[in-house]
Amino acid sequence: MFFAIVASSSVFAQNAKKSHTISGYVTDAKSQETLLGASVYETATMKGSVTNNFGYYTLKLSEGQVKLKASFVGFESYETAFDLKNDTVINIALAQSLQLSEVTVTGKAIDNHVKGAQMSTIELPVTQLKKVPAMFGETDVIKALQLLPGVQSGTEGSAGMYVRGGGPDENLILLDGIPLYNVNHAAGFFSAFNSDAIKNVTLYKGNFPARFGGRLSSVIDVHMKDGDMYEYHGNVSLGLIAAKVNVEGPIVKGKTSFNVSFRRTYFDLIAAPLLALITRGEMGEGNSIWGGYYFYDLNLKINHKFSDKDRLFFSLYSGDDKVYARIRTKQDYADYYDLDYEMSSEQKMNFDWMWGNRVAALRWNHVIRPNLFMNVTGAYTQYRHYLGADIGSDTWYKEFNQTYSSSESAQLNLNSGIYDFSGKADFDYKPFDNHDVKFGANITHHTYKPTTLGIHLEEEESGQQGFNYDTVTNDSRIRALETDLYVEDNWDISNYFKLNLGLHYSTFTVDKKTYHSVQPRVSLRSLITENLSLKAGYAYMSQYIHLLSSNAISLPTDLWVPVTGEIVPMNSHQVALGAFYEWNGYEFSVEGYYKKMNNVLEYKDGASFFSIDETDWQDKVVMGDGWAYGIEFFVQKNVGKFTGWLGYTWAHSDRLFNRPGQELNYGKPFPAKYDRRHDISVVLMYEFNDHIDVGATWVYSTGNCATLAFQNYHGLSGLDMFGYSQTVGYINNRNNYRYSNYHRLDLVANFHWKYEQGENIFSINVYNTYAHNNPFVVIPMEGKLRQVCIFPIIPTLSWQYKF
Amino acid sequence: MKMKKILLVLTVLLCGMASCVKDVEFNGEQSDPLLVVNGVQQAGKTANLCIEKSWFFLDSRIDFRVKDVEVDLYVNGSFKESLQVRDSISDYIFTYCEGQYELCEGDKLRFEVRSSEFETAYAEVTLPESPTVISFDTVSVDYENGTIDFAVEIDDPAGTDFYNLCFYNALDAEYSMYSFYSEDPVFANPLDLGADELMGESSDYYGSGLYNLFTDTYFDGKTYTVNFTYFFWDVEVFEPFVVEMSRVEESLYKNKKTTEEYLENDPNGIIGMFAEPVQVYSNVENGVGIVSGQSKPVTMTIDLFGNKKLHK
Repeated sequence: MFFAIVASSSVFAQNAKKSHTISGYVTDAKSQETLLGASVYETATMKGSVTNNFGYYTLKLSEGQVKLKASFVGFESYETAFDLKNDTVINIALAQSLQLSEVTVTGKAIDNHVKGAQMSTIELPVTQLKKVPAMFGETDVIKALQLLPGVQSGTEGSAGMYVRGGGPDENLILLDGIPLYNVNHAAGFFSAFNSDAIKNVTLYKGNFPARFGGRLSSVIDVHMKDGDMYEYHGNVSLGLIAAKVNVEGPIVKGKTSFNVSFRRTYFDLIAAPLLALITRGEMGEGNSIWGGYYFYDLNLKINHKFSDKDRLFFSLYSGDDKVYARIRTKQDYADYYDLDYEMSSEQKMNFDWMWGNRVAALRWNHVIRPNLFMNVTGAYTQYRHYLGADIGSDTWYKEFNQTYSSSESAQLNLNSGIYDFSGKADFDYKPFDNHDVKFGANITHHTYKPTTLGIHLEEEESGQQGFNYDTVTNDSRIRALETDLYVEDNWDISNYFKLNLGLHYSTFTVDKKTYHSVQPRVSLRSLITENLSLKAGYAYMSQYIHLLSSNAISLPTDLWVPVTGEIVPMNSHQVALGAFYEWNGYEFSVEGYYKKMNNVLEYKDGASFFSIDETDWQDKVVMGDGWAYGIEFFVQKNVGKFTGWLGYTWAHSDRLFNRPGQELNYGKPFPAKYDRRHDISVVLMYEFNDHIDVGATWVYSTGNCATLAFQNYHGLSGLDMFGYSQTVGYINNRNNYRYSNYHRLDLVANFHWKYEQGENIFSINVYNTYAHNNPFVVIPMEGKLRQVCIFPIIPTLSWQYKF
Repeated sequence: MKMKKILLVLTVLLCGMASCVKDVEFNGEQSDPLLVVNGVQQAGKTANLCIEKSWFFLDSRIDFRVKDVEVDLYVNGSFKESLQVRDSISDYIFTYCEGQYELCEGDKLRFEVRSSEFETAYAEVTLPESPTVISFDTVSVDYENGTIDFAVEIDDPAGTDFYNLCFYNALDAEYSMYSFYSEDPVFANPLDLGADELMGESSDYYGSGLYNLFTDTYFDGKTYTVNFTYFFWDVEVFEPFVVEMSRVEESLYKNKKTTEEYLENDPNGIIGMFAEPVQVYSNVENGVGIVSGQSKPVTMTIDLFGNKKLHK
């Protein structure tokens, strides 16, 4: 069907005037960094293209005189005119604009926002992202995305994302095209993305292009910077909790570049020695506690340009969180009067808790023909969780001139993780001037390592080996194979209609069972006027993995598990309608959506994250359905001194678990955990001059849902061991109580001092400026409701030096 | 002046930081009390119900009493009797209702509870048949550690069945403070597993009182011997006690199980923050509570002077 449509359009193409391909890369003139999503179009016909994820564009134009224009946010437009006679390669280098003028990027703004067939998609410029006020001064991609319509945050401060009524495990988070499993640091208060290493972020909330699959609710496509090909740059920054360094530059000028970023929190570096000092003072010599918590991120990218046709990229991400403690205690005892007795005992306890991601990817870009671009990727990604304890004691004593010694030690370690090897090939093909075809295939081998427990116990008495025990339990693996095939066509049917038609086919094999899914995707744009369009879309998505997680906070014990014979894949149908308008640098949009989710998982009543492990997780979940609908309003201004956006979402998200034996809430529908009726975000940034820019964010949303037992009563009498009736609560409905509405104002002011060698930037961030008591949790206590707020007001100073 | 400004700013900041916990008004819908109906009907005995009303979770002054209670009992579709209503028996404030008709195994009971304060509440229950007990005996008595090991062999019919083991003082049935222990897998509760299992510990069951329920999941349609241990060390060793084995209705099992889960993860408590809420099972229409059924038990009375008897 799809190829028939493409073939039929070729008839039109053959009948038309002879056409040729114009192709090439669009880059930053200064650094040669490729620009993703830059517009390249012919000004007379307004036929155009947008650069792909590697900065490559292809245009098919009729021969003759053409006037080509390229534009990108923050860059001066480029224009050239020539006589098109053959296939032509034009690599375009755009110069950075000294000031973001409204005129500079008009073309780009119209192309993507109004004229593109894609909807429910938002690109967040990283330059803008860095000006958004941030908690602890740490610019955070996920937190910035939470400020967009259709995206809800979890609990206060957390990095959990709930897109259009979906769960936090329904977001596909890609770093240079490779999935990251756990994007949270510090229980979700920070995300794993270091903004210094990021070039571009795109959020897809619906109408997913066919090239994406595997999650129901969103795709967050993050690309790391390639690195400057000609000059060395970098920056060093110090914030309240973390220090960051970023360096980029050429390895071989014009051929090979690198970009490396490192971030680490340093609270533990100060706190651990202080803790040791205090405990030594309190507990005496030989006794100490040394411990702390930190997280770090390392991003590395190396980019080598063999020729205009071939490029190789190596991306590496490594990020870990670690909690550690070293406890030493010492006891000495002597009694020379009654007994000739001396004793000395030393105890140690080492505790390490680590979790983190590793991603390594090697990608090869090859221009097979000017109108056929290929990207081949080989990647490895892992998420691992380790908990280890090493406890031991050495005792020495002397009694009646006889010396004895004994030692005991116990080592315990828990390991779990996911290890993926994947290979994929993606192709961008422009067969005709009105078709942009993308197709590709992906294969991923997943290894799910359930929680493995290793125990080693050893005892020694006066040099004699005593009790010795060594065991490893549950050292098994679940292996699964996931394959994806996709094809999509961005088809300019006419000046008025544009269609994005796609098909994604995937399989998932686990436990000798193979699931198949055929997922159609379609979106249509109707251009009403040059700056007004209507769009409609439909997407079917399938998901083969689930996150076992507490609803309250993100924890390292959160586990990804695959579908099984009993737990079948989740799937969703989503339809959306929208109107898009552009006026004088302002983008307006309104989108309505309805999403039906099938086979979603929830924990059974009473399941606690304290008791979750992979061995019996299927007994603790139930399967049901969900649906979400809403309307999103969005106004954005990306250019000029004054930038920002305003988003408003009205939304509903409900769940129904009424399958036999899998009932929740008595089999009746109930609101999803993060169902919120209203959500408003206002993000404003203003650049006074080269020295000062300020930003403000105000968010308001309906309060979170919680479940409370409004009525108490006595259960069946005579049940407890003291013969009293137990008091139990009656919960009429899950998520039956709403916390008070959430709102806060964040402010930032950045002061820039530019020198010949670099630039100093001082930032003052204030999170929750008017100290509103936003509820983190509400607990009934002594006949009252006690509300706990965790971040009343957080002023932060940070410093950055750019060179 | 400058110092004043600094102090002012610091005070404002400190107030902001200090106000992390505060009492807030309940902003939900004020819910009305519910009619609470509880009772386990046992074949061979008369019907009985405890009736009271629930109270708002933030209320400190509580009135449990329900006005003008009337209870009608229907057996196998026909009106049988109106239960006698007795207010405030013993230390409890609930209304206690008792019938005169001796209930039989297989009876389908329907209770209608009326009060001037509430809509009429209904509950239905079918009394199960007694379990087929092949043998029921003590295995060993350990005076040093204060334990008696029991074994009960049952012949389980096909289909899901629910059983109960209980202990009570032979002289005072209300007194049920007896410790019960079993490693038998029938008592394992899937929701209890997790951390203990990871640490290599078994999911041993410790129970007490009148209800130690289990299902036939592990032995459906087969004969099976349930092993359990009674601790007598801490209780009055010279008083005889009764061990009962009976079959119960599913509703009782569901109610007991969800009650235990609820108490472990009270949503109105701190632990509840980290657990999914539990809705306690109820089979009372227009009310809350549990009206369930129990078969005639197979009973063994024990005293530590060696007297024991098995009768059905």
